[in-house]
Amino acid sequence: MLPRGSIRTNLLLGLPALLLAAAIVAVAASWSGDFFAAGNLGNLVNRVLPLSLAALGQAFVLFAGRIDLSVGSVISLSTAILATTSTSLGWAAVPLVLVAGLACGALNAAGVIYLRINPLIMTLASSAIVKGAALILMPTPGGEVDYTFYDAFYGQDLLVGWPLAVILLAFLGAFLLFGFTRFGRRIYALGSDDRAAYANGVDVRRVEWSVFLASGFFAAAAGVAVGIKILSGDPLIGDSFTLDAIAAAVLGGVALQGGRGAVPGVLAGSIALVLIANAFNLLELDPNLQQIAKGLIFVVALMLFMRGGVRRTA
Amino acid sequence: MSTSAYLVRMRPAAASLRAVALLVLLLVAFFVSAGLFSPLLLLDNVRQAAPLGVVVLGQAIVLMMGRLDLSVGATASMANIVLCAVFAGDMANTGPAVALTLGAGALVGLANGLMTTKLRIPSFLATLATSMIVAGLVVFFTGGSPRGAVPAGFRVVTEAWLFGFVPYSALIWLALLVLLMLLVHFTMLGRKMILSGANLVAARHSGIPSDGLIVLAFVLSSLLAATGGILVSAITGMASIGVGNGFTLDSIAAAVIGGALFSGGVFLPLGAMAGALILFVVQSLLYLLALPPAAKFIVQGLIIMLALALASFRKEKSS
Amino acid sequence: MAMLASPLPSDGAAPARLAVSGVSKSFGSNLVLRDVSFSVRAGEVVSLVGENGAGKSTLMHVCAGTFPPDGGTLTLDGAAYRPASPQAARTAGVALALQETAILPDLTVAENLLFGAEPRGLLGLIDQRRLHRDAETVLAGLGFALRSDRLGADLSAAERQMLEIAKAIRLAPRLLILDEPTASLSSHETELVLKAMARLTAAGGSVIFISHRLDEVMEAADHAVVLKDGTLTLDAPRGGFDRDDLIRAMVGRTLTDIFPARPATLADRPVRLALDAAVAPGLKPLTLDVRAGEIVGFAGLEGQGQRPLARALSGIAPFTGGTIAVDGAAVPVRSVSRGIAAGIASIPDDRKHEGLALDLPVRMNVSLFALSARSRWGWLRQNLERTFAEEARRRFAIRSTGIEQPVRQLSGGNQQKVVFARWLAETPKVLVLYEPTKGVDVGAKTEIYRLVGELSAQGVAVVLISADMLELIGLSDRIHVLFEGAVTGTLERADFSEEAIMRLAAGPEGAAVHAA
Repeated sequence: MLPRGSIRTNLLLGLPALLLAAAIVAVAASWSGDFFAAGNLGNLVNRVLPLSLAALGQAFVLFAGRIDLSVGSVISLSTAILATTSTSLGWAAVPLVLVAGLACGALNAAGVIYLRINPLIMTLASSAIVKGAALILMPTPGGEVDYTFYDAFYGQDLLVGWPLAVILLAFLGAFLLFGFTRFGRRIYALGSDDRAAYANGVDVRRVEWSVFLASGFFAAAAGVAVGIKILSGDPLIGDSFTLDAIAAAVLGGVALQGGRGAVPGVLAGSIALVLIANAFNLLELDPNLQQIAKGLIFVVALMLFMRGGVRRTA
Repeated sequence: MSTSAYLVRMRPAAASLRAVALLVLLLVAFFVSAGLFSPLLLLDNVRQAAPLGVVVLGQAIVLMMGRLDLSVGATASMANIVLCAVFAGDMANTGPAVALTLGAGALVGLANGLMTTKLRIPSFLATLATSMIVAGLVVFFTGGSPRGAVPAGFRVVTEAWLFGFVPYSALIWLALLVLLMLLVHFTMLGRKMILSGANLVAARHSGIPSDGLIVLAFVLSSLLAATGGILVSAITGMASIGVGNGFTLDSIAAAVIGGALFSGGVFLPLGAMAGALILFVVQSLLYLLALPPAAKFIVQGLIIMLALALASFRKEKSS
Repeated sequence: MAMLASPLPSDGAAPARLAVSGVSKSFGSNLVLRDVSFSVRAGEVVSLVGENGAGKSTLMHVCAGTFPPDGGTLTLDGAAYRPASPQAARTAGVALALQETAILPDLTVAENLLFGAEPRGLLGLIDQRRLHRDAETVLAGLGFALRSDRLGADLSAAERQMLEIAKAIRLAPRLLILDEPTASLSSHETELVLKAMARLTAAGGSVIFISHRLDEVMEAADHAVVLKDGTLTLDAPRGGFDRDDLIRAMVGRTLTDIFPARPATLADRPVRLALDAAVAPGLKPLTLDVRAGEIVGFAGLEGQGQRPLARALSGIAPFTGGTIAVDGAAVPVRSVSRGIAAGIASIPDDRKHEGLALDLPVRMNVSLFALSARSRWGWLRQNLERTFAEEARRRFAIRSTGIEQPVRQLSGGNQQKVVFARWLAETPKVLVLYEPTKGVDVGAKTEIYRLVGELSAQGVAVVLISADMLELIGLSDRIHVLFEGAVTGTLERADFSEEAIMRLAAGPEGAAVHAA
């Protein structure tokens, strides 16, 4: 039983991604017996984790009708910080990374709000700045993330491991925030129509601040997940995440012009993207084809959703 | 129509003038820190900045249409791979090599243009997607280890100097700049492009075929990006994956320094040229000052922010 | 003229709910409000009446905190009232329901209605079920037939208006301001709105109510206030004015001096533009002849097919059926360029978005068609462009620092003249005008009217689609009235009057009700 209101419409927007994911599972499972092997499933969850977190952060910004192209650079910087500090600081390195992510979000928000730079360009510029910072901190991939991190986070043999728990917790929290709080509704309102939102008493600056901060925070969290996974830092590893995060959100039914889409759709979109890559692996196709296929899938998803996305009242 | 009157009418070029002033300042800084001054060194900077300068011209055309092309880097990289593969080090292949490289570039532009007009995908995402696909294709077809090389005879394009003091690549850059200036400011086609870029709806409602013009702009941008890739290949002489990737952000930064606006309707080729030179000199300066090469990214980002913040404050003041 | 009522409450006991005294406001050089004073008592409905552009909306926005007045003071229940924002006004108990509504398209009716006041349950989370139930209660109480879970984007203009009114009334404001609330409503819906107003005043609230419909004013107003050209021209309690008083106070100026003289008869002229059963989305089959030199006006309440008609004639959203002929030859206007080729010039209503490149200079904005017609081999003739632009600036009296000034810096009237100059580089056969003087000052209006008169004297067939009654009556040779996409009546010059137009504009049903 779906709740009443716009959230129902928004949840339904995520349905195609869910169906796509299910279809890929069905095809992959029938072609390769290895799909449901515990190892593969665990591997899938581990790969969904960073993408879904980055996509969730991006969704905050997209719901508000803005965009964040700095997500990838923030992920790179996060792995670099983690790999240079984890051995000395221990677990305290993680909050440090998250604060750095928030700082990147603050840079974006400040540029958009006070310098009045278009979010697209502002986050493009900040992505260069953050990437530069990552490269100065760590010119080539390296450093070391303490193995105890890996052991504690990915290595536990639990029924519901940490990665899955983090995904569920983050998405449940965000689902409640967007579906059932006044604050979430203000974010949707801003994305739906800037001027109408203002006329209805929405504090535009406050909403902009919070969505960019959220995006920076979740990108940094994604970076932590990546860093622990590869046990090192890589100043360029995040690059592909920027487009992937937008692709996951769009595939999950989030409208680029804002105001529409829901958090469960974002998760479904992230899962679908990871499954596509996984299917390529299982079918033993050239991994280079993956990138091409991902680009094409993204174009198709955009095409389908942009068509329906042209607003009647605009 | 006299040239002076034309120059007077380029007044919005105040931004370009500022860019030129900044350039002079940077050059002074450059020569001071290099500890020597020579016109040849200056011209050698121009020679090396030419590939970027050509790519910036294309980005400036797309920006004039109120769009953004994030695929120029991948296109230039692809051009390097295609050119070297077709050349295979043999001067006899010059015709097919250049033609195929430009043809491949034009195809990328066509895809970009059709995606943003027919499929109504925002240009930055459409071009981001093509750049990913193009890069994927390059790796897929080369298997990660590209083959071929540019024959020494062709490398004259960037390595040789006319009469010993004008680099050929600078001449190519200048020629393309003049051609585009003619197109934009002296033909009806160019005028219709400006009007479409400044206000798409108004242009459509005046019967201008704006969609076609947007496609044209993307094709021009990709052709120029491929040309930039050819020039880079002439400099390096070999095929390597991703040589042009830096052009995407460099070209945006350079165009913005030169006064281009993301709202469209402005084409300042001289500003774009100054912007390309500024970026190049900044990089040389960073090198001379022994700063890490990555500082370049930070400077780029700050430059874009600064240029746009200035533009938005000016606009606020004037309205 | 009726006597001017004292701004002080007559019973002398309580201060006025809202007292406006000596308020002035100008935008740029355009003085929109001039020393306006009036007051609203508790429990009273005040009708604010005036022509388009008389300053009504500006006055309402001043009262509702959208922008401050340049001079004068406001008091609310005796206390100084200077709202810094609409939000501040709302907190003070003043709610405004606008004509251009602030409905969020991606939220449901209920979510819009209770935005910012959503009922919360467990853990402080919004209770969606209760939210929709509460909204249904509010709507049912008002008698509005609106389903609570429809999305804002799916509502019609009338439904959005009803929702906007419901939002304002739900706040139980001390003062409710309604800006032409009934412009897009049917007579049944109008009754509901009037009833809701009555309930609010019975509970001690006050209402300011802007309307074009004089019958409504006579029925609902305890007090009428009339604005003309930014000045208060009538302020009288119920019984102290009748319809004629209102019209005199609204109009009260001679029309001949700003409108060109019209020829006595045009029957002998050839037919320039002929539509036969032409249909477009939002427009029912339309058959129409416009003779050379004739100006045919189209009137109607907002959203009755004016926009589809203008867009179809210009080729932006072409006719989907029927035929269109210019000078007897069928011309399928399937695109803007086909329309231009057929000699149809078309001035858009929204010059900033659909007409001009605001950041480009006057020169580039005026020269497009002149250059297209005279270019050789696709070269742009720079000399010719400059000469043409200078000439256009003189001919159309465009006030700018020169041909290189960006259009953004020009006043609304001069911007509109730039649009005219572009389209009239070559004399067209047919000129389609859609709200040609919206947001244009009186001086520029006069110049535009003179220009239209000249063109019609040269044999151009003019189609004038406008909400400005004075303009329609002053310029047209014949007026067709649109209602729900169809022409419901036609008036010849001898029968022109605002009332006659209004009666037809209200539609068959409205005409019956109002005539009764």
